Amino acid sequence: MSFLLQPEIVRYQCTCGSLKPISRIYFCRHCLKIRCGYCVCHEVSSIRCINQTIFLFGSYLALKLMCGDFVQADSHYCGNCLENLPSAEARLKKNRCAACLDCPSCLNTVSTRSTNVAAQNPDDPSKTVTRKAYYLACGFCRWTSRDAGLPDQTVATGGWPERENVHAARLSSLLEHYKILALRERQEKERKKFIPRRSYLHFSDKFGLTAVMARKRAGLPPLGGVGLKDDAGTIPELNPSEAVEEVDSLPADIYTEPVSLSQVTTLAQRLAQPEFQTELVSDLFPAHKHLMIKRSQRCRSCEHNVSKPEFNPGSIKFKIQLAAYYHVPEIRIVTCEPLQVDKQGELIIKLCNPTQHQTTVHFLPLSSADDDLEETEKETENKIKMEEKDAQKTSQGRDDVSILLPSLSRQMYISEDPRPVNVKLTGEVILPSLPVVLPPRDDAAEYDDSGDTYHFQDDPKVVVWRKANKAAVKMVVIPLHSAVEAGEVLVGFVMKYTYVNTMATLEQKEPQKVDLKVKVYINVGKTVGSCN
Amino acid sequence: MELQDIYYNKAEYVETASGNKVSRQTVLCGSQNIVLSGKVIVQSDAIIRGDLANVRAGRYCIISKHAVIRPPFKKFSKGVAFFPLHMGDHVFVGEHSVVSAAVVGSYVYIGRNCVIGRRCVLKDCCVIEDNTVLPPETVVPSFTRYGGSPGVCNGEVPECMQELMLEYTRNYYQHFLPAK
Amino acid sequence: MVCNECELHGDITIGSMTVIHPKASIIAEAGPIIIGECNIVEEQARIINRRPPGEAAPTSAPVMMIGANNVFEVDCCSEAMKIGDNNVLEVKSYVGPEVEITNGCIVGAACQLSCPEVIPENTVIFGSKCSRRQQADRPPTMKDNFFQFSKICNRGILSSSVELFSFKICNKGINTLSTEKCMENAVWYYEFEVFTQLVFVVLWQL
Repeated sequence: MSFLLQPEIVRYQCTCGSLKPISRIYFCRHCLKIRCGYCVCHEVSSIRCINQTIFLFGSYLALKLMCGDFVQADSHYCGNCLENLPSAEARLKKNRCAACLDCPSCLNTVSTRSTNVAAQNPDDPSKTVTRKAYYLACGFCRWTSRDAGLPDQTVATGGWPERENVHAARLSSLLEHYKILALRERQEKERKKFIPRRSYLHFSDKFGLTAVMARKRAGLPPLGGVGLKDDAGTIPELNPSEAVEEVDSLPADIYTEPVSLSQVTTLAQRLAQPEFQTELVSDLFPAHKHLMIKRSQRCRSCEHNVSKPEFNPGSIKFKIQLAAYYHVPEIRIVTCEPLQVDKQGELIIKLCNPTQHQTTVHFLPLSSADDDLEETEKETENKIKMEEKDAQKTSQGRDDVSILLPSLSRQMYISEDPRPVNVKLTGEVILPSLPVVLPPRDDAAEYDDSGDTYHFQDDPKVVVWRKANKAAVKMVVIPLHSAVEAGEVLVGFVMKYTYVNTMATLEQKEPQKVDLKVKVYINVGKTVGSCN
Repeated sequence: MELQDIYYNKAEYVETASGNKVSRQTVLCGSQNIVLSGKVIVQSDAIIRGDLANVRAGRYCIISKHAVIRPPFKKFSKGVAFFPLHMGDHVFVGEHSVVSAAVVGSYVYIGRNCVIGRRCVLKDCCVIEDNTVLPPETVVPSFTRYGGSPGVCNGEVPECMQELMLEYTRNYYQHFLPAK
Repeated sequence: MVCNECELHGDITIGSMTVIHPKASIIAEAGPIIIGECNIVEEQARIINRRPPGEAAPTSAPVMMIGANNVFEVDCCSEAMKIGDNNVLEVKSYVGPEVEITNGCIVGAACQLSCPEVIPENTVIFGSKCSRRQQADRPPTMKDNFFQFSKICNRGILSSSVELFSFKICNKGINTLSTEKCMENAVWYYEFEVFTQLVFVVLWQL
């Protein structure tokens, strides 16, 4: 039923070689290539990060949990109160929201409840006055702060006592120690590597780069080169942990008292608060809520953004949004005849042109593995040539800033070679020989039922019907014997489409027409019966 | 996968001038408090409780069979009060889901058998998986995907969610046809 | 106070100040159902006194007893033969026939109880694994909330039945449902409304 929760039926091959549905891929308008979540650079919005820890693929949940120390960002936000936090503050608060708390029992967000409490009037002890008292309650498991023995608060927000970790002092001293140790190691390494080279920071005073640099440097670990010799010199004394011979014996009643499971915390509850790992349910304490992030994604080869959201956590708008869904023709299965091994079955797919320009779609058979190899080799050759050119340019010393800046503010972009697609086709497909022309997308047509104004001379053998920027195309699928084993019929083809590149470059101001190819794999479904 | 045509019994549905298609088998209590902004589909046996507070649904909302849209209430020291329920545009509510949210943003997908607790806030472009139970007062941020009981964030939604939902609800409306 | 769009079958006794929302069903198939005071039965809730399948008709009809101040939320299903006071059966919960619920319990959303057992007092059952815990403070009684609640509901139901004549959506396009039925409903409601209002006035005075 749902397009979102459905297994992926039509998959496109990304430049890096992974297969993704169209909603999960991006189209870089600068290098005219398809990119996916695995081959873009993930960044927490706005400011680029130095550490490579940001190469986290997939869910940003992991990111939000662990990388606050490395990421410089200004779009950390709390998922509950949707408040934006600057990165420095987020780091200070250990990537947790100051206001929102999680229920320790079921890990849901707790809410504040108010009650009226009768208290003695300080002026006249014989009378009682009612005043508001606030406590925390979980709407899901009905845990309340009274269960934990926390006193009710007189103010609605904040003021909840924080629990101190018993080992806090030890942990902070360890942290301090290793920070300095790491710093020293790095210093030594840098010194060995570039003895003559100094940090570029001394240029900054001369050329007025200070403000920009300072902004970029803010919150990042200090540079190895300069000014650190003083404090890195002393490593604070650290007493190593000692093993204790004698361990306190278990209380005597542990053997006699029956265990009441409702009194003991569960594993999930303990793991939610690793620093305390409370044993009894009655000692559970609410924990501050983890922050979430907004992040932007950047093409690794041309370093342009493919997706950049607005900072405001409530906003769903994007400053840059190059999802493939807006640029690459979409393919959907409309109907498919029951598939029998070695017999022809008709498959009707729907093509949809999401761009503002007319496009022509050709269908080509998949190239063999050898051709692919050749192509990639050619590409790598080209790349090497380009790099050489770049190197020449820089060696001529024209482009000082571009050398200077990347080393400071940009992370190293690691572009990987595309991997071959490792899928086994279990069906053959007879593709329509004629190209299909798709008119541009017209948003106004949605409100205008006056019919299509385009008249295409379509071959009824190829195009079943068309409507606005969509067309249904017929093709024939022949399942192979291997489809029975695999359980499903997988077919693939190359879709060649014309794309109008409207990006104005230095060389070309006019929009440019280019032919682009993308490999498409369709899971047509199961085979019915056998041919015997 | 392209949506297949869904045929309904012409006698069962009422189509208004603004293109709302409402089944006669629904329970629309306090219909003067229910605003359906146009091209909204309310399928059979759905319940919308407009008598408790105002309910507003934006354009291209789909309320599936047996879904319950119920304005949330809050208990105060003196009795209870009901709050209006606002639903944005292009929202899909799956079968047998119960929605008591305060706000449901635009381009939201709510799966089957979900329970959206009282006074929840669902921001734009979020997905609630099938069989999710969102406890009362949960906030679901944009571009997240919630699932489980209690509902927790377990993933993210593609950046083109807005376009996907637009396309999906429009397509659904176009394929929701009277039986010949 | 009972909305007429709900399904009631068999021998059912409902205490005063109980609200039954539309589309709720109370089915006394195997024996009578006795519901106490101040209960709220929401939409699509099912309270069923069902004969165990495959068993011959018993000689004595089992009686289902439901105490006071219970809330049966939307789409919950209760087959429990004995339910005490101050319980909440949340949305989409299920309580089987051999379960006995005492007082102050909360069966969380989408939780299922089907093993024969007696749920101790003030138990909260929640989550996908139906975890349990004891809650410290008792849920507030419904009595205080009832008047306002029922007033809202009352007004709503009355207006809804009247408004059925002009089934308006978005102030555009007017459609009528089967008029006869509406007429019937409206008259019925109106009488009921007047009656309940009177009862309330008397109760308030008291």
